Amino acid sequence: MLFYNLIIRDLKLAFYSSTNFLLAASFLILILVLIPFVFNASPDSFTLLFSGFIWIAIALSILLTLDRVFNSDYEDGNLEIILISQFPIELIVCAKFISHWISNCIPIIIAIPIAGLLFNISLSDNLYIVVNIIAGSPGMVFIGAAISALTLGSKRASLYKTIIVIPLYIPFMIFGVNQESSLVLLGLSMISFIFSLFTSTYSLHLYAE
Amino acid sequence: MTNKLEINDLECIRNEKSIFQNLTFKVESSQTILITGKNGSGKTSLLRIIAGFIVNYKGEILFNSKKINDFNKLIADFKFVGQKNSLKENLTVQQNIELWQYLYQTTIDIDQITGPLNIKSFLDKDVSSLSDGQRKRVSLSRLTISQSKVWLLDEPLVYLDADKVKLLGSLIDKHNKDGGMTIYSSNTKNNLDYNKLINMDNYALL
Amino acid sequence: MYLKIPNHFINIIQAWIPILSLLTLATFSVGLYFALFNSPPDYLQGDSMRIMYVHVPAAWFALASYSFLSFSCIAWFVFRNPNFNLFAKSIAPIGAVFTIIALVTGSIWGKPTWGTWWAWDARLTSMLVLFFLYAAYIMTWQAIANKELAAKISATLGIIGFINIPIIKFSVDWWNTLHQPATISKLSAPSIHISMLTPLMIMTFAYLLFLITLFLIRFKIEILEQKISRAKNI
Repeated sequence: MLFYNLIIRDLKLAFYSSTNFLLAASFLILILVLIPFVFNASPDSFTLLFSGFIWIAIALSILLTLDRVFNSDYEDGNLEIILISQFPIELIVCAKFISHWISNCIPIIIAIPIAGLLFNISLSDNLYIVVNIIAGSPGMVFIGAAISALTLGSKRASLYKTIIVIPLYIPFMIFGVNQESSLVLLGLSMISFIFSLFTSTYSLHLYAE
Repeated sequence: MTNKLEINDLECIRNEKSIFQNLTFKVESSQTILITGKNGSGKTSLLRIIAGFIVNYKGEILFNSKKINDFNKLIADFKFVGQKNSLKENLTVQQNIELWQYLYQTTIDIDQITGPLNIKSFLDKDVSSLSDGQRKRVSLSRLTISQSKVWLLDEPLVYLDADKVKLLGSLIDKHNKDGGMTIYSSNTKNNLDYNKLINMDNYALL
Repeated sequence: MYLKIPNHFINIIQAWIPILSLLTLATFSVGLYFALFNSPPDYLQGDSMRIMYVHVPAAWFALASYSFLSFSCIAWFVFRNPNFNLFAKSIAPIGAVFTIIALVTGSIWGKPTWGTWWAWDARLTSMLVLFFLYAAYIMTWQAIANKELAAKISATLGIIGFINIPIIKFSVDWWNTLHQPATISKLSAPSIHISMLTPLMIMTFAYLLFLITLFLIRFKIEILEQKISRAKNI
């Protein structure tokens, strides 16, 4: 099955260039480490602000890794091999989404309890945050991947991609910091999956030329 | 079984401009076609149309009388080696080959892949440390990873010296003997054997 | 993709531009006279609410322009007539400027009303997001060198933005009810008195004329630019 093979291949690629696996998670922790330096507040208020910090850090880490979904394969030509394989492009895109989520968001999810320790977050609060992230982060990855597919051809894509992606992340941010809205996040992820699938498929058709 | 690739009255349109037109030729099993022509005459475009990447064309491309669609999803018997090497710079050659095996969904013995183009000696090196000729050979070694009936090679001879061209020639001969066909583009004097020559300058609208 | 606009059409546009410009100027003078001198001050906000006559039409047309942009993009996908893409491309910078006008006047209005320049009110925030949607659309045309490709990508983005606006509006509203109780309801006066409605309508009409004039100017420029680049290519 190419679907499975493609996921394994992307995970291996991330694993071989071992920084890839750790990049998003370590970036996330580094952003969080900066926060106590710029806020002259008591540790208690960090606890209040923690889930907000986490969501901003996640958005930035996902943005940082977007170049690896399609761009690197597009630039070195591996995308050509993938595209003329016997497999429908929609499924290729799905495989890319899944492998990118696994290789970036799972390390993030593992890193969050550790970050929680630094900010003295209780276990149940940590659990809520992790549940929300599991519900919301796939949608953010899908949207980011779709926009990076859409902007494959532009020279300064990584800069101007940010301007397109961040407004699309606003709903995730708003619902992400609310503990009871993991179902809304799940819904947002599903909507963004459908839209990202169409957008990515369409863009790959365009850029194959 | 013999295979047949027919190109009928092909016209390629890029950016609202016609690149070439009235191109008609036929390839059968065991044949090698050389495509030549000036820069911008549409050599790469022709190969990419046949491979299924470019869909904006007029005319017909038939493989065994079946029409080719986007990305060849129905046939998938094509292997395209373009001008991009499809190599990950920060990985070793062996790791690159391993990743390709996932994409082609086969695991064959590494000797079968490294043998024909003699790339075994730098299997453990990082791609970033290879010369352009070595990269080209690694890139071409993709041809051996899985079976496919049609090879489409875009400028395969660039960076290769005479004895490496010979190695590629024998690889193509073996492929053609097994019933495959090869279409490659080239602009150098030092070419492989071919059965038919298509000079794109005769069709190009410059 | 051939342009289906005959040359004499450009001449017609050319002839209308000065007429519309004069009309715009005239309507603005009348509208501003009514808005600034010939209408009562608000009993709560006093004279500061007069900025509404500049702010509200700008916000309306900023949104309307984006709808026009998105529908042009959809129409381009359906009919594949490049003129639709030129419509979208022409309206984008105008819509962006209207958004800026709405944002700036909104925060000037906010200073006496809320006591701050910016209050993270749901409407202002959505307006800010709208500005970024415009910016993304405009940047796409510049970031992608191949114009045929840029046309397709920007049209896709225009539609994505259109899907996104209600989602953002909904979530920002929801967020607003959570964090910002009632302070804003002062702004959305339930009913508007007729003496204020007249200047508002005249100003809206002036803005509409202004929008059409600017649009025709931009559209003419886009057509000419396309003709130049086609001439270069042949």
